[in-house]
Amino acid sequence: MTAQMLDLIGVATGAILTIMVLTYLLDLKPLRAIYRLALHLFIGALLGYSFGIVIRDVLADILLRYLIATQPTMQMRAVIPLLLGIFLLAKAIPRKAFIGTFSVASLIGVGTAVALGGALLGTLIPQTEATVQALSPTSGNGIDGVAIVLGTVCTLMAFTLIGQKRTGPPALGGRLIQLVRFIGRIFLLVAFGVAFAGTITASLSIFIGRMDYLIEVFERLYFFFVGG
Amino acid sequence: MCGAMNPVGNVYCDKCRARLMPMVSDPETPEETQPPEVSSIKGLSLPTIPLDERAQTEASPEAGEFADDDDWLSQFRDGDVDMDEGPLVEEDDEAEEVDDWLSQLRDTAPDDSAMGEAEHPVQESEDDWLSQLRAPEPPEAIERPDTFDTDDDWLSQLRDTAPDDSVIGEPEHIVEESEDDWLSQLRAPGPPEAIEISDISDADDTDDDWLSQLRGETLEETISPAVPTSETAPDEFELEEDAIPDWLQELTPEPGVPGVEAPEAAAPWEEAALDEAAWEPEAEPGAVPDWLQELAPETGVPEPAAPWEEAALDEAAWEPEAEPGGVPDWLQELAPETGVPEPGVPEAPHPPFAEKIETDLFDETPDWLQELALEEEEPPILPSEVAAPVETEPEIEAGALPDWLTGLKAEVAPDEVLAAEPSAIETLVHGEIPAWVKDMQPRREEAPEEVLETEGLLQGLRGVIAPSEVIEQLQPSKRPLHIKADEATLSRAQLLQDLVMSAIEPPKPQPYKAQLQDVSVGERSLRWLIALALIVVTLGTLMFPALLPAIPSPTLSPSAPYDTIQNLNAGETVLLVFEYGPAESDEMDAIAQALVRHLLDRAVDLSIATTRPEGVAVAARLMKDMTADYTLIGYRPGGVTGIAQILREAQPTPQLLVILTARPGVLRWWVEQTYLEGAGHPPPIVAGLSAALEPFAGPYLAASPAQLAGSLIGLSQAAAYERHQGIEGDATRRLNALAVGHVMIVVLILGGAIPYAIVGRRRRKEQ
Repeated sequence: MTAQMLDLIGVATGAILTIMVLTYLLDLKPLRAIYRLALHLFIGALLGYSFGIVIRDVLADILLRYLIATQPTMQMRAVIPLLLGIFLLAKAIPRKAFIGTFSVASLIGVGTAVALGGALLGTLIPQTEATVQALSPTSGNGIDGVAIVLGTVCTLMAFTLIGQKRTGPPALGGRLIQLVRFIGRIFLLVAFGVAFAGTITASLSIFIGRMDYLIEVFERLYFFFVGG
Repeated sequence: MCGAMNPVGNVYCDKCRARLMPMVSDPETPEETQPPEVSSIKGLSLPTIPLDERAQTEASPEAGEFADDDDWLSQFRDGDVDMDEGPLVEEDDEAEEVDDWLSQLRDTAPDDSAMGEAEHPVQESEDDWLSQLRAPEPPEAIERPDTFDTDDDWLSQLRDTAPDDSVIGEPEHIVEESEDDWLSQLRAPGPPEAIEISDISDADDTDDDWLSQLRGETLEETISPAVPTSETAPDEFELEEDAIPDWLQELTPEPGVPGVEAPEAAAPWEEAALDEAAWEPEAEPGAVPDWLQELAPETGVPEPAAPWEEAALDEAAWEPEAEPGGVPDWLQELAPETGVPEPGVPEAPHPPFAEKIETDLFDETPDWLQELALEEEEPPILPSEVAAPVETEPEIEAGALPDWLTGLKAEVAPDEVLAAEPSAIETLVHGEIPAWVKDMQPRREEAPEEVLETEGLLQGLRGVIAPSEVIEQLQPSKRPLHIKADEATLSRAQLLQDLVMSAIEPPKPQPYKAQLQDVSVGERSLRWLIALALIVVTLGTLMFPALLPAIPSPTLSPSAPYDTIQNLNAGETVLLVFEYGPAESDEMDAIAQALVRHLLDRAVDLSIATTRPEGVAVAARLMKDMTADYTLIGYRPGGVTGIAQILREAQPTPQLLVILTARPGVLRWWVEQTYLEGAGHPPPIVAGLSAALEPFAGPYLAASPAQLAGSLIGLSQAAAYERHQGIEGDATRRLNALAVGHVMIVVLILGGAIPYAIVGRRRRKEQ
């Protein structure tokens, strides 16, 4: 069996699986089973591949490299995560699950700390500065700068959850807040619309890519079996 | 001792009645004649000394005054030392200079400290009448084969059986001064009998022979042969009838009577002591028994209680006021026979003692006792022997016992002694429990059967209260509520009540037929129509691109990273991050190809990393298709921490960071961590993003300074990038299909929205 043959089999299998997934569009009972079968195959293949990648890139590459290192600091960098990982396996045993609590706590704690630091320095502060600078005459944003500031403030005000009395007409401040909230909701709707459009575009792009793939496979099969 | 384990604080062994703590009397309180409060009576045990009181008495400096103790008395006392305190040695601190029989008298006291205190008031008056009392009695010589003892066997044995000997120290010391007078009077009439003592060199002038013999006998008996553990009988000796005083001859048992064992002889006193008769603090004249009172007038001494009387009364009956009638029967019966109060008679049985005699102790003892002690050649007794159970009774030669003691022995068998002790308790007056106390007495009721839990957390436990029982106990209040509620409130309350009372049922999956029934045929047909339209348009555009009219080519966006990549120099490192999987590869591959192709044109070094396992496969396939060389950093787990690790380990520091992702969170993480790790000078970031991420990338692109150096978003920008590069790739080829697809989607939206708006408006009017 040649490599071309193997490649063709792989491509054909991919095409079949693609069609199996597309059967979801027809929404028929027998085809639904086919769709579910394709889903299971994808999930299983993804997990198996991921497991292999973890063994190769994490355990074999990082862990062993650190363990066989001559420097104790390097070894410690491998031993501590290894112990935490072993403890984490205890989560599979209900009676011994508490052993893995420290590992989970470490994961959550370290992850949260890293994420918070990054969010503060990478998003909040730069974006706040950018919003403030948008109104600066030197920024040259003009109307865009006003729109940025207005959109930011109104969008944030849209999440104002201050209650108010129903009795009587709202005061001037209440009316102003309602107006700002309304404008903020408009910005949100536009943002959601853009995001939805982008999602549709992305999905359509993927769909087009799948159709292009099917065409390619059929062309190869055609030329392989029929020739041309 | 039996060796049984006893609770901490027990002075006497609960099993064998052996004393567990050495006893020391308190010499500082001689004036007190009141007996100490007896805490409690444990079975047949005698009152005990609190440990703290004992410690005080031991620490008392006056204890040194008793250093001049007789040998045999030291041995006598040492026998009470607990085995836990090591081998028995002479107690140097406890000096006793009292006669044997007096100490024996006190040995039977139920409480040491009380006994010691009770004898003090008597000491001043005891000499006269005692001397008169004893004067007419000629001391008898005692034939003694091998020993230098001057005491009677029976007396020593009696002494041995005393249950408590710690009382000896203090009282004996007091009586010591007055000892010689009456003894001399007592011994004077009788010629000293020949004593078969070989090595007595310096006999005390103040001591008579018979008394020396008596003491010697006692000493010998207490030293070695009478050791309770030794099964050998004590040295037997015969008393010459001539050497025994009359009153002693009357007491002398007849030949052939078996030896009386000390504990047995003491049994009556023990029983009497347990009668709980009140203790007499001070022996008043009226407390002296009749037979003693008969003796007392002869002396012409007005009558405080004689020491032995007091001791006898103390031990026999602890009466608050010992009147003549309160004397025990056995004493009254004995009195006429003996005619003379015998010092050793009332002594309680005492376990025999034996120990090694230290020579230095002789220096502190009287001369006559030292002489007697010099003759002693008995081997030292091992502590183990001393610690033997008290029940081992030495056999006493029949002739060494007085009649009355022999009779006592015959009457009271060893077993009967123990049997008689409970009887003594039985003689106690049983108090009646008040009715109200009886009402508080717990009554045994039929306990309900305890059910064994078979499941749950309490599995294996019995008697668990069922939750239903607890719940049922909470009866709702029957008191009417006076609350004014409108109908709306009541309806809401009823709704809440229904929700609470309704059983919670897990949602059941809807069967497929029901799902089909929910979807109408028209709705399903509409789905098929939309799908068919998209498939046909897409396939037609892809398969027959020439059929479509010319579409204006997209222009490169100002935010495109073309200039950024173009400014890279050859050999610089670019970190290429593949953060998408196969599901997004149909879109992202086109974008990635455009960027990677440009990077390859710039001849930069590519390092590939990812935080998604499938990203490795996607990257490998893409780089393989583009025949590009790269350095694979690989997969790093941990999400945001993995990103931080990749940025920290990237060597050399990348000049450009290209992020290819279709997820907004991943883009934000990479931007944030790049700023965090870059410490204010992060490398430029170029993002190749899915079309869905355009709104999320906008803020980073619009920031000043821009956090993203450029972005290539969606298939259209990828096509524009290719066109700008002069290449027609997948993005360009698919762009027509994308445009047609967008048109089709718009048509479908309009085709669906217009009918829905018309029908919906009609329905709203109908409603």
